[in-house]
Amino acid sequence: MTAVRPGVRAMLAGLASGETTAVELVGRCLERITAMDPALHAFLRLNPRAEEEARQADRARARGETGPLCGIPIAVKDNLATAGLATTCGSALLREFVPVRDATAVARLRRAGAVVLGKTNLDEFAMGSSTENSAFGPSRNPWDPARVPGGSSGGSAVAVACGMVPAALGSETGGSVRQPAAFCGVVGVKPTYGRVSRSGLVAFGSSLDQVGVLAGTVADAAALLAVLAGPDPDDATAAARPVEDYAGACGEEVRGLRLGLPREYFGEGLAPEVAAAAHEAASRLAAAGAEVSEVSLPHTPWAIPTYYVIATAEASSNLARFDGVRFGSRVDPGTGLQGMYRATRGEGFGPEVKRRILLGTFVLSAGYHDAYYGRALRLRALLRRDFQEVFAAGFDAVLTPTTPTPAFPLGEKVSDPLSMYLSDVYTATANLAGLPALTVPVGTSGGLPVGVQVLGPDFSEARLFRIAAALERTFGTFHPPAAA
Amino acid sequence: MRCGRVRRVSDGTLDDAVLRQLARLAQLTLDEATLPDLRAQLATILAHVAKLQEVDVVEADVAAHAEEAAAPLRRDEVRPSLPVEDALAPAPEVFAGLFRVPRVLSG
Repeated sequence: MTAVRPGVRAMLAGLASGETTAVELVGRCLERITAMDPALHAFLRLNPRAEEEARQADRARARGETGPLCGIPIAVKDNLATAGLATTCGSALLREFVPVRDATAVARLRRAGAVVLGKTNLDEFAMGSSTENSAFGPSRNPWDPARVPGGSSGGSAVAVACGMVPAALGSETGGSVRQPAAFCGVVGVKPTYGRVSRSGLVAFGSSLDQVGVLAGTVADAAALLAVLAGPDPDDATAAARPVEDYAGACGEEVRGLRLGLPREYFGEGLAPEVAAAAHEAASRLAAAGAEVSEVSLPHTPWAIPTYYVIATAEASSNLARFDGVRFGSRVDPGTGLQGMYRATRGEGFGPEVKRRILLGTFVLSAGYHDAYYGRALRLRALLRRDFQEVFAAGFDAVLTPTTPTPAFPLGEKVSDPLSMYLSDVYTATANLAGLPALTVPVGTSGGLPVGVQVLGPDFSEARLFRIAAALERTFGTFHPPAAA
Repeated sequence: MRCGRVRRVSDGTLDDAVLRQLARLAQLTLDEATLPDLRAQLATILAHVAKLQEVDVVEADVAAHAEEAAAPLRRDEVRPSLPVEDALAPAPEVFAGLFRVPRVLSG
């Protein structure tokens, strides 16, 4: 097994020089998966055509037709549609579902020459923060297999942390890229709402969902997002605004940038070692010439209740489509159409998905709609206004811990959903406000990685890459012992 | 699945009858044995969500969220849609180019 964790740019250099081939790269990734995945369960399924697709990439390169990711193996979270390759969403209900088309994000990867290596594990329908809600069993954290990798994009985070792939796609509704990235010690990017097409991403909370990227380095994450970003006729919310030079931004200094440390993110519930890591990150950015000072985002304490009303309300509507008629499995007890719907959904969905559908149905029901959903929409606007006021006051970005604690033990929060929800306390705000956010590892504590996140105004991804790259230059990258 | 009226309970929490009614509205069967745990979990979550009532939200504009920053318009042009055979391919049961469902009306 190769001892190092090769990145996207190193692979591209090897391919360009003729030192290696896409077929060899796929072979090396599969070798790592064979060696490491039985204990970690990052993947739900490998692409049986990966080697053939790599061969095609090698032929294309020989002809001089090289896309920006030509021959690079990439993993895809299993709630993004892949034509001809099962897309289960981690649900028993979709165990055999094979899409007829690629999600736009996947199609763009393929168009750039990337090879889809396989589909990664997730909490069922992306509902969870630990990957323990997968119908196919949990993934495990490569830093300590007794702990969760985070979720819902836990499989993608594990795959990248271990070098099974150099980068992976994930998705976010409340922190599902950043939280597992922080727990596994890799870079995770949640773009601005509308920066990447959601077409073919199985919907959970449509006003919050966004396709994201996980990679071993900031520049590799930037390389992937550059391929994914841009308008799409299949998603009316995909923004037409030009895509900035993310790769170039990674080389820029942070001197002169103004960064805010929101005091509400450093209060009760934050582990001291995570607080210390975030303060150290702020100090190093200040030493690199950034101006760092405290700011306030006063509505932060209401982010989680706001999130769990809006996200569950949207989920209860979005998941209505899984009724045993158009896709997925069907359970028909012979009691008519309604009986088939209820049996299919009752047997097909796991406990967390049912909990969220019931909660969403409750908060949207007559008599409760205004008190819960209507009020949550207004809180969401206030949360966004908090950020806008900070940015209007001249701050370029804010810096916070990504998670309140490092990765927690498997099983610790499974029977206490509220405690699980609170692990998203620092990440859900970016989804509610629609802002871009990026997590980067800055240290370890007790043998577990710790991340900080940077949040900026709408479509400021280049600036976030610039700040994160500066952090990476001073802190380096972090590799789990098994993958070092 | 359908928005409906749920019997309102005075303290905003759920009893088993309300839970069953929500399950009917959401087209879900629930295992009776799971109801006590489920009710307790939802009660804990709703107690946390009740924090929303603490904030004065009168001045907030619900339209002020991120979608405004995106939402471009595209040309109003007819484009090809999903072919029927592709749409039917993942369905559990099909018949004569249609999705087949269990009998809706008796007789």
